[in-house]
Amino acid sequence: MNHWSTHQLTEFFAAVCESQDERGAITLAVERAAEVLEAEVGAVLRGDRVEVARGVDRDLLDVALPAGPQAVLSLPGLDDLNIGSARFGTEPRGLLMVARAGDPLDPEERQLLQAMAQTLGLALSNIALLTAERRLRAERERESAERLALVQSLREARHDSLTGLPTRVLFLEILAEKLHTTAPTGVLFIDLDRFKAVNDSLGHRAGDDLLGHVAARIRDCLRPVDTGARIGGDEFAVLLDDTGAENAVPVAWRIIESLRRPFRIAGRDVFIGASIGIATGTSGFDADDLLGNADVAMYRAKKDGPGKVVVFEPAMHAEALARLTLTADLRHALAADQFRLLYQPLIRLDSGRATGVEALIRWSRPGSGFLPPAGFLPLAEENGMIADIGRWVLRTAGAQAARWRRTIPELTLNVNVSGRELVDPGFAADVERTLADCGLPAAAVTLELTESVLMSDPRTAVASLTDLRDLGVGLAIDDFGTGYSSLSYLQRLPVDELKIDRAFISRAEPTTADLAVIRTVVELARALKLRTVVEGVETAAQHLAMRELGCDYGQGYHLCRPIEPESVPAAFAGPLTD
Amino acid sequence: MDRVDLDGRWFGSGHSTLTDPAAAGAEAAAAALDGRTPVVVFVFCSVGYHVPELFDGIRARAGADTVIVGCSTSGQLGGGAVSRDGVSVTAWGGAGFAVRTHVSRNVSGRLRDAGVEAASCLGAVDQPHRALLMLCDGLTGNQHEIVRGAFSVAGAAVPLVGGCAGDHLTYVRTYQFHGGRDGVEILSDAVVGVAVGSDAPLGVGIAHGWRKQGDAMIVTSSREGRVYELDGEPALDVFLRRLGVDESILDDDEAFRHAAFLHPLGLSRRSGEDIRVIHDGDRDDRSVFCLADVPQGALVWLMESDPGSLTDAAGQSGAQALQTLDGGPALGALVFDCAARRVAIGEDGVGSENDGIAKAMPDVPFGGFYTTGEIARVRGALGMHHFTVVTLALS
Repeated sequence: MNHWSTHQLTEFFAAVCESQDERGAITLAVERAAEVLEAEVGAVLRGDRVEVARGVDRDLLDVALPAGPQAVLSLPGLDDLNIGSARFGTEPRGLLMVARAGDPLDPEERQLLQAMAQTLGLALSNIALLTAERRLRAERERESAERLALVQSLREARHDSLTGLPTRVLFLEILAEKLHTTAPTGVLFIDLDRFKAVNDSLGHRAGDDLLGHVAARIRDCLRPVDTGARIGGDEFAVLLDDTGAENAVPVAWRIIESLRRPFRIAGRDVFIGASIGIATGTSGFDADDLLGNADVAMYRAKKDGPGKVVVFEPAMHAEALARLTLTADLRHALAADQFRLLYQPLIRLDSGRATGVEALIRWSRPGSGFLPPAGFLPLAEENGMIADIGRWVLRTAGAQAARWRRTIPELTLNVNVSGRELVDPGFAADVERTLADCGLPAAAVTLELTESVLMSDPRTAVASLTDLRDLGVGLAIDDFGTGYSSLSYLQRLPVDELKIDRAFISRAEPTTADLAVIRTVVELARALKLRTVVEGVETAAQHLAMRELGCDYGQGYHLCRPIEPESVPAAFAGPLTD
Repeated sequence: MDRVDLDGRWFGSGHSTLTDPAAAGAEAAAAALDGRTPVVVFVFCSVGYHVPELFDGIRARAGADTVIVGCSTSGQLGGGAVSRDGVSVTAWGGAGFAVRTHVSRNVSGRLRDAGVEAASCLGAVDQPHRALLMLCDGLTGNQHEIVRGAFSVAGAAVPLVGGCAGDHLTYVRTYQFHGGRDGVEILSDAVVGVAVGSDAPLGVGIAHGWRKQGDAMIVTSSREGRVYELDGEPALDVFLRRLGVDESILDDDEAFRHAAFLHPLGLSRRSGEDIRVIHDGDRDDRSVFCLADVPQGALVWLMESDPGSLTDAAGQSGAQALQTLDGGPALGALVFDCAARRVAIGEDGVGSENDGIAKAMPDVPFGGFYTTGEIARVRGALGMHHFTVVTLALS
């Protein structure tokens, strides 16, 4: 009982079983077996190859191990060693081996080695089981982490990270749920006015900050049973529980009022506004359709002017549909070469001679004939296509004018510019490049901008006009008198020409009052050293009156209608009027 | 006998108890070197010396390629004398010797790796007879792991020897030295590996002089060097009862040591017992501390001895070392003697022990120190010892 060898087995067992991995357990077993049996060499072999060796280099042992059943191992620098070994495990079979100088292993030591080998075999199969279980557990943990991540991403898809409000997806789910009940459900579609300007001028971070504040204000206007959502960049929606149109309108106005108050963003007061469309539905309505209706109503509200509330009416659908078709056709028009230009001469009122032409665009829309600019340019401005159209106009008219100037060197060209083009930072460079390509001197070109475009953001306008002026092109204020020009800005705008709107001479025979207003404008222009062009001269009386008032130029059917390009040289051949 | 010269190969040992460090270093070195340029110089000194100054006196006598190694001690021997406070210098040189070193630093918590690193210097020595000598910090925990690491590199054909640095058994901090003529580094928490190569055989002797006392006990709870339970009872209670002493003995370190050092634990091994010295007891958790591993599940005995057996063990170790020199004449020897043995045999015993070594190795100079753990592996795979004397003899 007290033989030393049996006492070692517990130590061996405890040490080997502590190992977490197979390699560690084998190394420990070899080491402890050699220590306990006072063997110079210890090793574990698997498949006749030495896997781990102690006391001698593994490769050296591989070579030195006797092939047959000899029990003696010869190694350089050591006396002959007596080999003792014991098998363990099933597949693959292993061999725990020690080799000792001096006495061979006695029967009790061989028994001990056998017990150690069996212990190692048990420990290894335990480790294999544990490893498999650990791998399984790790796999399960990985799967559960993936599931969690999926749930999280779904949650994120249903909640807007910026405002914490439901997204379009979740909003539609909630709306669909509500539409199962018989009570009416109101939907507000809210579009922020001037949000883009804030984003552009103060940066995206300020824009994000603003959206967070907007969400909070919208939420403050709602009852706990209502739902607010962010459904797009600067678009929000509200679901009003058990609410018909008549009760939805006051909520919309409350929201508009709330959003009209200044927001404190990035250390300054920021003013925005909102336009809201309302649609209501009851049981059986499709959630998507209802939100679409509110969107259509919002579009109408936006068109009616900022800060409006419009309740959806079925007729709006037809309009919306027409708009969609128009948009699609317009996208196609440039590529299909459906635009063309007419030219309306500018006539010197004192001589009756044409000195320049204004390029006027027409769209030959298949199935609709020629569409005037008012029929498609606002839409083009809205969806950004105006930039491409404007570029086409300048390039086409510029090339044409350059050709005309070979025979009519004094001919000048007027081209209309939209508000969107004016705020495009690359616009001046674009103009410069186009004129250079056409071979048209900048001084021969006047760009026309409407008064309302210039006055909506005069500070930006001054900067952009200065860039254009530096190119050497002339600048004109179009439709002057229809907007609300600040005289102080008028003085600071670097323009050369005022085009007096046709509204001032709408009567065939101008009254004294009409003439008084026009005289004031002409005098103002003269004081500011601006040329004056009066638009809409349709009768001889108007022509005469304008000439007497001192207007420099005139345009109108009485003077000359818009003409095809091929007729332009003839118009310059002699005086068009008396 | 302080110096021996055989065919140009020489070995010398010097000793000084001067209190001035520079003078002590110079005196011991002068005696050991006797004007010759050594291959290696071993410096063992008690804690308390201003070591850099001590080395000044030694480095001045070293050659450009001389290796200087050593450590702090719990007493040293050399030059025919033994001291508690002093310095022992042992050196050898001449043809056919090579010494290379590698220092493993910050070894706590990675002792096995430290052993592997320290043994890496063996590769730079290709003499037919080689040994790896290691000088370790005595306070880094289970030093058995250092030996396991070193054995995994050295293999069975290379003997391992050495000892762990001491600090007069205060267990506060020990120092290891490593350098050469241009400077010596003073380290702690390090293992200094010294690969010794020689054209002539090297011999190693190991002896302790202990025997089993009373019934065996099973270590039912332990963690590394701390034993919590013996036979399911608090280890401290079992130990005090077996010694027949009262718990109040823990109040007096000196008295506890005298009692405990005479009765270490013996772990059951094939060729005898592995000795574990009990250094202290913990009243709170009723455990006892050994500085080396006592595996849970092991069978242990309380050991006993008598001053005669313990003293004689040193001579036996020396004689064994000489016997393994293949019959050649001995040049000199390094002795690593357990500091706890010194406490057990007392100051009178120390003198007899020294005489015993000299008698066992007539006309062979030797030097060494009192250790906190001894290293010796010649047979088998085990190599960490306690309460033991280890001798490395050169021929």
